[in-house]
Amino acid sequence: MSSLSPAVVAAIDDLELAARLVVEGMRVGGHRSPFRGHGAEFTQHRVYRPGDDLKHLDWKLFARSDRLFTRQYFETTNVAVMIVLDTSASMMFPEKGLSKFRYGSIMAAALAHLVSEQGNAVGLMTMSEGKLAYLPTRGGKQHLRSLIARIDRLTPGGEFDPALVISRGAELLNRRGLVLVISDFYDNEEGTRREMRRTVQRGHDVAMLQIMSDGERTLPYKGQVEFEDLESGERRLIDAGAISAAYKKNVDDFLARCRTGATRDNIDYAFVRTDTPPEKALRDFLLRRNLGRQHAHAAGAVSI
Amino acid sequence: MIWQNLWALAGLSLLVLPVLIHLLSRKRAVVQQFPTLRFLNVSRLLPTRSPNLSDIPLLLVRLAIVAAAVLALAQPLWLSATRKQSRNATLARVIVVDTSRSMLVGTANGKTAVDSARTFATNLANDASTSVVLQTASPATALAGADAWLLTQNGRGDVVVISDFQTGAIDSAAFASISTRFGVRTIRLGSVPNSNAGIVLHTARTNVTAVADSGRISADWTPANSGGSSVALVSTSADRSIVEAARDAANTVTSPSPPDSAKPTAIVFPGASETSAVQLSAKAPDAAWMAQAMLRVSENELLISSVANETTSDTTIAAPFAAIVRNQSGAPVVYAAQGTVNGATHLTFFQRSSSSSLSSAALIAAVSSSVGVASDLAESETTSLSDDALQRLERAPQDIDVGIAESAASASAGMSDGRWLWMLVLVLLGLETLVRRKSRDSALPERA
Repeated sequence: MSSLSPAVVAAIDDLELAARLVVEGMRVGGHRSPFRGHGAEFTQHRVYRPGDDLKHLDWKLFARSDRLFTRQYFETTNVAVMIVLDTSASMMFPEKGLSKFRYGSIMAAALAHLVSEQGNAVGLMTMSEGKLAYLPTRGGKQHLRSLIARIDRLTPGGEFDPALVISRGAELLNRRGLVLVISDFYDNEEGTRREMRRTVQRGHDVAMLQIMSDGERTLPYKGQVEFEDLESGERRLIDAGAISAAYKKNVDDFLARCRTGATRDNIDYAFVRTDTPPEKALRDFLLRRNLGRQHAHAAGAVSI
Repeated sequence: MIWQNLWALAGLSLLVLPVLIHLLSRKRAVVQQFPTLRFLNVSRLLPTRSPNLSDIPLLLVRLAIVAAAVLALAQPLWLSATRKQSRNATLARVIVVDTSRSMLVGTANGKTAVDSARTFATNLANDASTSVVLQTASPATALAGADAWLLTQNGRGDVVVISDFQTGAIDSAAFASISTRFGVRTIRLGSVPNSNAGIVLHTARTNVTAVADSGRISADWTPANSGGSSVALVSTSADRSIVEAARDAANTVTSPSPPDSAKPTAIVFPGASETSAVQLSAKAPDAAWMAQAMLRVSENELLISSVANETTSDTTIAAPFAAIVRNQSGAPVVYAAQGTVNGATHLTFFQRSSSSSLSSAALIAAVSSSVGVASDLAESETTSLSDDALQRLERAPQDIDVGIAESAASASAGMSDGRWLWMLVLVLLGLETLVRRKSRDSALPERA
């Protein structure tokens, strides 16, 4: 089975169906599902403290060293994943074909599908018409269906404060979990990064899924073009051909800042272009998370 | 190819308009919605007007439209072989018949040369598709008019001159006024006099006739007729002697012709008792010779200079009288009208200055010379253009060929191939619409 092209995915109106197709497409082929066989894995020993559950005491170690240690395990069950989806107007690009917002919606729905299928809890935090829109992290098919329906009803274009949305999303996670931010990260770059860093410091795992279209990556226009900012409405008359090189450099610098900032703050980062088949983008993202999990475990990262 | 409205080709200068429009047009920038302007440098803003020509294909189509329209207005006519054959089948002809005095000489069959020339002219006119016969005593001046008429005609054209080709009456230079594409044909009729008996001088009392031929020159003096002037002089009885003296003076500066009963003229001097009656009978001249005589008198330099210092108390003049000569202050000193003198209609000149003034003699001389039948010296010439010279002048009419040649002639025929160009204009207009739409679509943001 070949990959679903972005054009095919864009043609599917039903978001739940599109998400399921993406997930199914991801599973087909030689790749083992990154969500199988984890179980409860040993992480580290810790000096016993009164109150620790005795069943976690490592008796063999006690026999050898005559000291009490408690075994700690990587938590693999009942992970809470909070999906933060950018609904700013800049996500409406490109106008024709698969927009960043639609692509992000499909990715969010597919991830929610995967998370829920693993028996984990998934929630949604975004802004709709200038107000915070929130679905708590829960498991179950019913919740998944309502979450996907909620994503489907979202319309981009209103006010979107990424720092606020991430902050509230992290606060509303009942326990340590994963905050997955799907955005182009254009808005409030510094504030967004600061809030994600703070979320990591609070013990949550944070993943950035940065979506960008080919058009805004390479500026494939020539001649006189009057660009209109989708969010502010500001217009600027520009010789697109003459400026494209400088534009690409600016964009590359921005992407490099995002990537290095994420690495520095121990944030999982993935860059996705809208012309990439969604299931491939999803698979690459999850494989990358699995590869880095060994390191992430040491830092107490959450696996989905 | 013939351009029937050659002036319309000046409209080709309008070709500069589309070029200017494309050079000066503001290029319409296309609005493209974009996620963020933060990566677009402000320093690379474009000028809204490009120094280069915009949209070359559209410009070419528009230039073609203007050019085709202008060429259509010029009414081109493509002369195909069939059309040329049709056009060359027609012949416009001008026949110039010399009616000068030398052509009035009778021939052996009792007819004059002019009569024979007119017969020839009729036959020649019948041979042509369209023709005009010009009978003139001055064939040289008629040739320019003949050429002008032929230019208005369609097809070939030629000029036939029937004359005795007396030297001075017509020469090869006169034929230069005929366009080279028109044919020239000469027919010699009549003969020039073999002796010169035409130098005739009339004075007040004597007529002198000089006769010259190749052998000798002889002169014959004969007494002049009484009252050898053709001008009737009306004055008071007291001034009669003064007027006679003025006439004698006038005869010393001009050669009065014998009285010409067909052109009666009179001069009314101040104070004459008939003045009122003549003025009452006055009316505007109704004969061409009168107008010509009045014109000649008004141009007589001797009269003008003699009248310049004359004074007159009466400075008014009213119809039907016409001022002939005025003094320095602009007052009419001599005026004229057609009036009844001695019971007959005369061209009557009225003088306001004194009869004894110099202007009286000048006026008599001017009037006398203006209506007299002057001896035409040219008619006395004994030589004519040689047959060789005439043969060199002759040429056949040229066929109409491809080239910028005719103007109104073909237009009058109502033929033009401009309709095909108008159809081309319509097609080009449709093409322009397509190219313009395509250009507009391509102006949308292009993928590099």
